[in-house]
Amino acid sequence: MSWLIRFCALVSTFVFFLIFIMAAKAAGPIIIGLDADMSSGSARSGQSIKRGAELAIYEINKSGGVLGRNLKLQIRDHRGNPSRGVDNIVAFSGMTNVVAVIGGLHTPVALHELEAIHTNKMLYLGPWAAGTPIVKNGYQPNYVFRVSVRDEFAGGYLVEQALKRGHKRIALLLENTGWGRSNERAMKKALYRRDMNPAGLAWFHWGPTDIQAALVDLEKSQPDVILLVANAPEGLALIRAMAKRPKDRRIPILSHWGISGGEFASQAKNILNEVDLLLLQTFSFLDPVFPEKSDKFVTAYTARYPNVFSARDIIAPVGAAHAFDLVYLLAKAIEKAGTIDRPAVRDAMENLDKYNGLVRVYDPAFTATRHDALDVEDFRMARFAEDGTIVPQ
Amino acid sequence: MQQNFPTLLRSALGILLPVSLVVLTLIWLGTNFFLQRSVENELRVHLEANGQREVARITTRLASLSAFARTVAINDLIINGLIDVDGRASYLPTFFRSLAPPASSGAIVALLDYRGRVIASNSPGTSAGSLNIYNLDLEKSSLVITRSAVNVLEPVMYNGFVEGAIILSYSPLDFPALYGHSRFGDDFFIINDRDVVLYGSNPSLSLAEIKKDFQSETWITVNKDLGSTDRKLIVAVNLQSRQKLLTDFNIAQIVGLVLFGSAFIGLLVFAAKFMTRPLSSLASEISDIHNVQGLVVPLKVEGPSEIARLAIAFNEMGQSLGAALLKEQMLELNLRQAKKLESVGQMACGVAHELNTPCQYIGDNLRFVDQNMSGIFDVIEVITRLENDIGDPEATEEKLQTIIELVKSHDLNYILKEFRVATAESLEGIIKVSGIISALQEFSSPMAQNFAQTSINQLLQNAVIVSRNVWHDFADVKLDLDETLPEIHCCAADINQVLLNMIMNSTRAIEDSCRNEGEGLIVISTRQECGNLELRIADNGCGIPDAVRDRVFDPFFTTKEHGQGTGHGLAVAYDLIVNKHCGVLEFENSDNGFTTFLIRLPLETELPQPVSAAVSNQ
Repeated sequence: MSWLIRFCALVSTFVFFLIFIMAAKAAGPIIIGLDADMSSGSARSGQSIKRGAELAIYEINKSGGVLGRNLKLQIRDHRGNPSRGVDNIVAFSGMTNVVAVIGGLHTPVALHELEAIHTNKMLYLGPWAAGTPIVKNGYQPNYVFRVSVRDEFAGGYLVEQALKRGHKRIALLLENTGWGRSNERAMKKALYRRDMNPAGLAWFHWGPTDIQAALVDLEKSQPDVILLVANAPEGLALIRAMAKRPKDRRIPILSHWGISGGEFASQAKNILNEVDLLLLQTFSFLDPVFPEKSDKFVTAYTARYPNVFSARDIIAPVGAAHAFDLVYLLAKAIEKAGTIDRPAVRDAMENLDKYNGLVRVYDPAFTATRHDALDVEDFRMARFAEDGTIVPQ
Repeated sequence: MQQNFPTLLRSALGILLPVSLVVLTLIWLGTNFFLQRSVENELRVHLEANGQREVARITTRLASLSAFARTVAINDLIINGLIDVDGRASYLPTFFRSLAPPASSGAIVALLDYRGRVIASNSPGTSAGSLNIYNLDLEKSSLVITRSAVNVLEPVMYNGFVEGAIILSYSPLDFPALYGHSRFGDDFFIINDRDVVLYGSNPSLSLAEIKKDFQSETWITVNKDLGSTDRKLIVAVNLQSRQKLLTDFNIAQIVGLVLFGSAFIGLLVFAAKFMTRPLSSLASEISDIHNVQGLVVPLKVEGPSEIARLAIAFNEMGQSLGAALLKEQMLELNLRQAKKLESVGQMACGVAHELNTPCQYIGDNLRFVDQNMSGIFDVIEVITRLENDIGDPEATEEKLQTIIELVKSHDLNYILKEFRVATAESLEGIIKVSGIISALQEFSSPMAQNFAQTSINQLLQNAVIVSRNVWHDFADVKLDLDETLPEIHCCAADINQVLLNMIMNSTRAIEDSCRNEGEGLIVISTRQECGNLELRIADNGCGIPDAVRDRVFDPFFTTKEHGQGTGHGLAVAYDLIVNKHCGVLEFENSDNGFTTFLIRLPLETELPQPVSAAVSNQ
C-alpha cells in the first residue's frame, strides 16, 4: 500500500510539476524592459547596458530562469529624450509580464519618468543615470533602485579628487538639466564643506555649440581645474575646444562619467593626449573587484558580441557591469517575491539577501531607505587610453 | 450769335466740328477696341508673370516661416528644453514670449515633443488639439496649408535624430497678414490638390463663381504650384475690373475731351466774339459809309490790337482814299462839266447853225422885200396922189398910166408873188427858230435839274434837235417812238445829258466807220416792256470790239486817240442811268451791223433799289 501511496505522490508531484511548467510556459517570459538611449548621442551607454542585461538574462535563463520562466529583454530606445522615456515607461506598463524597466544614462529622462514609474508601479532599475533625485524622489513606495553613481556622492568625490591633485580653483561646467543641477548641488555642498566656493560656474545647453561659449565664460574665472558634467556630444565639443587652446591655457578636466556613454573616445582619439582629462568610473574590467566573475563576464561578452576580443573592447563598461548586477538582483527579488507582481518584487528588492555581484558585494543591495546600491567606495577616476579604453587610475 | 460769329468759324463749327467729332469718335472707338484687346493680351502676359511673382512672393513668405521655425528649432535652448524637463519652465516660456513670428504676432510658436505634444509655446493654453497637428509627420520639415491653419513644422534634431519639433501655426485670422496682398491687387486663391479653396484673398469672391465665369472670359487666371507644397496658387484677375479701369480711363478721356473741346469751343466763341464784336462794329461803320465824306470819318478803334490796327489802317486808307476819291470826284465833276460844256458847245454850235439858216433866209427875204419895196412905195405914192385927182379923169388916167408903167417897170407882179413866198419862208423860218429856241429852252430849263414827270419822247425829240448839228453830217436819225409812252419820274437834265452822250457816241461810231454820206443811221426807239421803259439807240457805226466790252462804261476809257475823247461819255451815262435812276444801261452788237444801247428805266413812280448793271452780248 505504501508503495502505492508513494507512487501516487510521485505521479501527483510530476503532474503538478508538469502543470507548473506548462503554466509557466503558457505565461511566457518575464519581460525586463530596457529604456535607454540606444541610438543617439549616448548610444554606447544603452548598448552597454543592453549587453550587460542580456548576458545576465542569458545566464539566468540558462540556469532555469526565474520562477520557471525565462527572462526576456524588451528594448525601447528613448534617445535621451524624456518624453520618449515616459512613453516607453507607459508602453512597458501596458505590456504583460513586464516586471521592471532598466533605465539608461540620462538623468533628465529618468527624472521625467518618475511619475509614470510610480503611477504604473513600474520597477525602475538604474544602471547609469546618477542624478540624486532619481532615487531620492519622494515617492513612497519608491520603485527606483539603482546600481550606479549617486551624484550626491560623485560631486563630493570629484571635488575631493580635484583637491587631491592640488587644484585650488575649482570651476564647475554643467549641463543645464536636472543632472547638471543635481551635480551643482553636490559639488557646491562638497566645496562648502571645505569652506570653498566654485571659482566659476557655467551652464551650457545640449548641443555642441553652447558649451564652447560656456568654456569661454568659465575661463574668465581663471580656474585650475574644471569639474565637467556633460554627456558625450557636449563633452567632445569641449575637449576639442580645449585642445585648440595653447597648452598653457588648457585646463585640466575632471569629468563626470557621462562622456563615456557615447562616441566620445572614438571621436576624440587624436586629441585625448592633448587634454588632461580624468573621468569618474565605478567598475572596470581592467581592474575588477572580483576577477573571476569579471573574466567569466568578459568571456561571455567576447563570445556573444562581435568585434570584442578583450576587456579593453567592452564599451562603456560601467553600464554593462551595473546592468548585469541589476538583472541578477531583480531575478533574486522575483524569486524572493515568487511572483512578477511589481509591488511585490519592489518589496523584495528592499529585502534581498547578500549577493556577490560583478561590481561589488551587495550586503544587501537595497534597503527600504537606501535604493542606491553603490557608494563612494565604489568610485574611481579613470583616463582614456589612446585606443579609447577607459583605464582606471 | 451768327451775326457775331465769324463765318469761317461758323463753317468750322457747323460742319467740320461734327464731322471731326464723328471721325474722332470712330478713331477713338477703334483705338479703344484695339487698346482693350491689347490690354487683355498684355494682362494675360502680365498675369502669367504676376502668377510667378505671387508664387515667389508667397513662397518667400512661407519660406520665411520655415526659416523662422528652423532658426528656433536649432536654438540650444529648444534642444535643451526638450531634455531639461524639470528646469525648462524657468526659461522656455520667456524664450517663446520673446519670439516674433513672421507675418503675424498672432501666430503660435510651440515646442512639441517627439509625439507632437506641446511642451511650451508663446500662447498659454496651446495644445496639440488647438494646433490641429495630428496628421503632421514630426520627422520632416513641412509646411501644411489647410483651410483652418497654416502649420510650419521644423523637427528639433539632436545628434542626428528628431527629438521634438517646432510648430509655427497660423489661424485663419492670421491668413490675410500671412499671405499678404497681391502686389498688383489681384485676387488669389490657394487650393489643395482637390481644388478645394483653402484661402481666398477676397472673402466675397468665390472660385466656383470665377470658374463659371471662365466661359464668359470675365476672369483670367493662372495656376501655379506653390513651392514644395502640394498646394497651388490661383491668381485671378477680373478683366471687367481691369477693363473698368480702362473704361474709367476712357470716360476720363471723353470727359477730358469734352471739357477740352468745350473749353476750346468756348474759347473760340469768346475769342470770336471778342474779335467779331469789334469786327462787326467795324463792318457796321464801314457799311454806313456811302460817300467820300463817310470814308474820311475815322472808324472807332477798339478790340484786339490786330483789329485796332485794321481800323487804324482802314482809317488811314479812308483818309487817303477819301482824299483820292474827292480828288477823283472833283476831276470827274470837272470832266463831267467839261463834257457837259462840250455838249453844250456842240449843242450851241448846232443850235447856232440851225438858227443861222432860217435867220439867213429870213434876212434874205426881208432884204428882198426891202429892196423891192420902193416900186411898191412908188405905186402907193401915185395911188395916194390919185386921191387928189378924183374927178379928173385924165389926171386919173395919167396917173393910172403911171401906175401901170410903174408896175411894169418894177415888175410888181413878180415882186408881189415873191413877197408871198418870202413872207411864207420867213414865217417858216421864224417858226423853226422858235422851235429850236423852245427845244433849247426845254433842254436847258432849270426845272430839268429836278426829278419830275417827264416825257422821254419829248426829251428825245429835243435832244435830236439840239444835237442835229452833231449827227447831221454823218447820219440820219430816225425816231421810232411809242406815242403811248407815259411820262416817267426822272431828272430831265440827266436824261438829256445821257441822250446827248449816246447820240454823240453813236455819231462818232458812225464817223469812225467811215461810211459814205447818207449811209449812217441812228435809230432811236422807245417801248414799254414789263413795267419798264426801254429806249434803244442803235447805230450802224464801227461797233464795240469784244476786247473792250467790259470796259466800255469805265471812266476815262476811250478807244479814241489821245486828245480826241475824254472817255467819260458812257461812264457818265452809266452813272446817271444806273446809279441815279436805278435803271439799266447795256449794249449789244446785232448781227445786222447795228450796235444798240438799251436804256431801261422803271415806269413806277417810286424808284426801285439800284439794279446792278449787266453787260450783255445777246
